[in-house]
Amino acid sequence: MEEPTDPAEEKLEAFALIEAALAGDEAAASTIRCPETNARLEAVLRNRGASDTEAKDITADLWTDCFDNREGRRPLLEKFSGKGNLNAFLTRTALNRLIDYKRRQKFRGELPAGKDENRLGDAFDSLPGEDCSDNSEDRLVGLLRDAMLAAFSKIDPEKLVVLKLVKVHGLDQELAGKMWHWSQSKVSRNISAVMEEIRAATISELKRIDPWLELRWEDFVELCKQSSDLFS
Amino acid sequence: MTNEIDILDRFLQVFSPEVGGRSSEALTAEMEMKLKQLSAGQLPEQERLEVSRELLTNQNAVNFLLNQLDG
Repeated sequence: MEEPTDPAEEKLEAFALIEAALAGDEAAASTIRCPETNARLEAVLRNRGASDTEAKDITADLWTDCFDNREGRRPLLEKFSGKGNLNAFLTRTALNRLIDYKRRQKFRGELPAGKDENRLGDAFDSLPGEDCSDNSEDRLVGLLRDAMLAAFSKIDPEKLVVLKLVKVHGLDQELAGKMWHWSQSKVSRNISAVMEEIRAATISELKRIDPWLELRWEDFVELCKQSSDLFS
Repeated sequence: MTNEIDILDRFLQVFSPEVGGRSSEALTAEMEMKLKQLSAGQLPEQERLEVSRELLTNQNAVNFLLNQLDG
């Protein structure tokens, strides 16, 4: 998909495309479901810990749900709110489905028995559909929040509050130092050290919760930003 | 780095408001006194941990402290 640079224009274009695609315009549908976007989604999933087969199946399933209204469900694209761009929406949905799938795989031990149980495609089909997707929309947010809270709980509260006062509320480092009886250089050192502790503890917690998940700190921060933009 | 902690803080405000510091719990007179002492650099070391915890969970405490510093 070609992306306009103006967010308002991008949003209008996305809505127009979606409307046309859902009305049966094949060209519009093909623009949304273009090979570049398909490849990007598969790559994102592989980079986050999906096998090649899982990445392909989740992406294929996502495209189906984007346009279909099977069993009276709304096509997934109707859920695009215009907050963030369409690519980000598709990426988040794919990632949520990956988390959902991996967790179900882990907790169920094995997928439901069936005549074609060895086929991964059928395994995906056996998962609940959009009702699950609605719940899984929260899985990413839940994962980010749980990892962050666990990380924060390991940080010295005094150092954490100084970090927030300085970096979020703009408190002067020298003034913070006077309040805590620290030198300015100690304030500065603590701020750097605490950020590093938060990074390390967060990534470690993510690994503890979902060992299969490959998420860099930069990804984590970007997903937090996207989530806040999307839901606030 | 400023951007990162801002992003994390905003995320918690949205998705975990009670932990993110959106609590509207009123401050006790004792806590107000401790925050005044902190702003003046006169809070004893052994009390800073308790006040820090309050500042991390109660936006009213943060606002009160920042007002003290502005005043």
